[in-house]
Amino acid sequence: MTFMLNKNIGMALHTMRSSRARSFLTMLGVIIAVAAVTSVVSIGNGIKSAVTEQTNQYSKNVLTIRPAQIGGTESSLATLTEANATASLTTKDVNTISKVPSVVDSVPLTIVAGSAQGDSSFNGVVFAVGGELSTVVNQELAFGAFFSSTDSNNLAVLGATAADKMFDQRVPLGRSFTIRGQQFIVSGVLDKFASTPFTGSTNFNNAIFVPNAAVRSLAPNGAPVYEVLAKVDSDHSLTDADAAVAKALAKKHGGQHDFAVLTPAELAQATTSAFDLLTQLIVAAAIITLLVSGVGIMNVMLVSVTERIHEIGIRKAVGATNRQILNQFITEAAVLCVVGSILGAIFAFFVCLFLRIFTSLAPIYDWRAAGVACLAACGFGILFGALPALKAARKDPIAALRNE
Amino acid sequence: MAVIELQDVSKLYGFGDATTLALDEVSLKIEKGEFVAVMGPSGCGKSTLMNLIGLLDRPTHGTYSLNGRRVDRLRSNQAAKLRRDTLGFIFQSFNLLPRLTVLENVALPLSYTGMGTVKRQKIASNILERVGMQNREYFLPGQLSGGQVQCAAIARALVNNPSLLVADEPTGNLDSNGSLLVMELLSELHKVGNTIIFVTHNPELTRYATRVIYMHDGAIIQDEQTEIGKVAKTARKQMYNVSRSSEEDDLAGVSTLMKALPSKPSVRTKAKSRKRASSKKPKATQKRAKS
Ligand SMILES: Nc1ncnc2c1ncn2[C@@H]1O[C@H](COP(=O)(O)OP(=O)(O)O)[C@@H](O)[C@H]1O
Ligand SMILES: [Mg+2]
Repeated sequence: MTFMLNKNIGMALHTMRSSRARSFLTMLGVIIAVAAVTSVVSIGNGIKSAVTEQTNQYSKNVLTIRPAQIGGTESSLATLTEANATASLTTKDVNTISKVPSVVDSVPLTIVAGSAQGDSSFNGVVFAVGGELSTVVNQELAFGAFFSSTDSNNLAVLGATAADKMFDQRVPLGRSFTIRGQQFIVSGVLDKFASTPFTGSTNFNNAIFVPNAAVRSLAPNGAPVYEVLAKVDSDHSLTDADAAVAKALAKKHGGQHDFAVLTPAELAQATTSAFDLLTQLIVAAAIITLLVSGVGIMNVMLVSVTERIHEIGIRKAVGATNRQILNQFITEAAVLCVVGSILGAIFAFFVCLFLRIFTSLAPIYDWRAAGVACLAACGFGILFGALPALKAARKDPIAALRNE
Repeated sequence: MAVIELQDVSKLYGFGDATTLALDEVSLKIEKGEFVAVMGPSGCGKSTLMNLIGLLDRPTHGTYSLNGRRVDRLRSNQAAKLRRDTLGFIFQSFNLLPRLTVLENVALPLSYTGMGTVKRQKIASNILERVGMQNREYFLPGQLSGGQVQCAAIARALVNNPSLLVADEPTGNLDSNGSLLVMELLSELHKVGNTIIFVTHNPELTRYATRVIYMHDGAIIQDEQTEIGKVAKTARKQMYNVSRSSEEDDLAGVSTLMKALPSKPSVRTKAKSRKRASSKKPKATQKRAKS
């Protein structure tokens, strides 16, 4: 049995060698499909790990507390879309959080609507924060200093991108700009946060930070607290602190969990699961490609069968049974698929290597995805290849021989 | 026991108004060791008969026994196995696989028995030596002359040591040299005990046969035992007078005439020198040279 298989494979390789171009074109479909699936999943892996790493880097030991929908949807998307927040956090909550023993420092971020007008106007996010932000978030200032609660309330700190967009100067310290007609003076510019476009946390590079005291004049009717960042004592574990904060807040909210306490890992998780969704969509598209490559194999096998009716006639005339002809053609389809999918997996490896060297994406090659893609390609290919093979096997020897 | 025995075999093609009666209640018995030539005009059913005998096709009516076993109602896979194990078929158009070497082509029937490659190729190699093609093993069919290709095809038909060789116009696509090469080979195979049935348009080639069957309109109209080395009586008549039924027959007749006429020495001397070179001197050629 294994021996017959060997013979069939030998024969299939022989056929492939003798019609190189056709075999290669057939395999191309499989190669592209397998390479696409593997590369997409690998790139996704790379981004996920980068997100996790970056989130850990600047918000290490920091809990993010956000208002959540009442009823406490734990869906990752709900925590991403601030607009869905139907509950809100209050100054009281901020106090409660700061009183949790494991929390060393906490800072509320209040969102103020309005665009800023510097040298050019800029539509960023305006956050009213306390001066503690600089110590809570592990981020240095590129220039200047963070304002403190004792400073006058018309100072502002800019995210790197915001500074860049608003002012023509590279170091806009001391320059002024207006928000809702109120003037602010730049006291500092933050270092660029190494954030990816996919992070779930707000991109602080686009943010304008103003002192809490400015809220009263900017938004007389009050502004919602977007999130509270709480730095946890490094002696305490983040998950314990997470539980403690959640417990304390729930107590004040009458047992309602209308807020979410996120560790950096969870924050990254929210991002990565959103990204997973994207990956799944792309993989679904790639699976369709795999199917299409199966149809391609069917097509080529059909042509191959038609082209080789005479050969089938000869083989049957010298004693090949239907099953032996069937096996021969299925083996050919299988060899095309196996060789094609292996080449595809190797190609994906080089795509990943290329992206790693020449772009900031750092794909992590996913062997499992490559394996699954190869199996799927072979499955589809053999399934689709079997139909023309069946057609070949059922040919009447005389009719086949007459066909030149 | 006869090698093959056909009893009232008919073959119909198509249906309704388009029905063709290709064979009309043919009965035929061939014993081991016979060398049978089948003659008849184009379309008289010779190929149909060969295909039935070679188990490439099934009769519509009648019975067929091969080595005493009924084979007229076999399923296609059983027929394939019998073709593989007990029959050798030789085609007018050779039908070697163009992408396989001569050796691989000859070994092909054995590959369907599950025999290992080494053993298979050894047997094929031996057969090729027997047909005088040992130094062409690794050639592709396209690199050989027609006669050589047909010799390779004969080797393939022999490789399973068949009880019957069926040849449908084996020399139909060959020039006179090729024909000679092929017929001498078949003649030798006959001498070492093979049973052969072959179709020919060339009366001259009935010299090799021990028996000549004439067909017309799907029926056997004459069955004549003949001496090796002599053109069969009815065939000889056909050589000189008969009306030709087709252009193909005309051509065959012309080349036959050219060979038969003493005033055309070129073909004959060529044939003779070839015989000497191969040092095999079959009776048939000697006798023909004398006559
Ligand atoms: N597959 C077929 N379908 C219909 N008619 C056929 C087929 N094969 C042969 N015939 C008919 O059967 C008759 C005998 O054909 P064949 O055996 O090939 O003749 P020969 O070999 O003696 O020239 C012819 O009239 C031919 O037209
Ligand atoms: Mg014919």
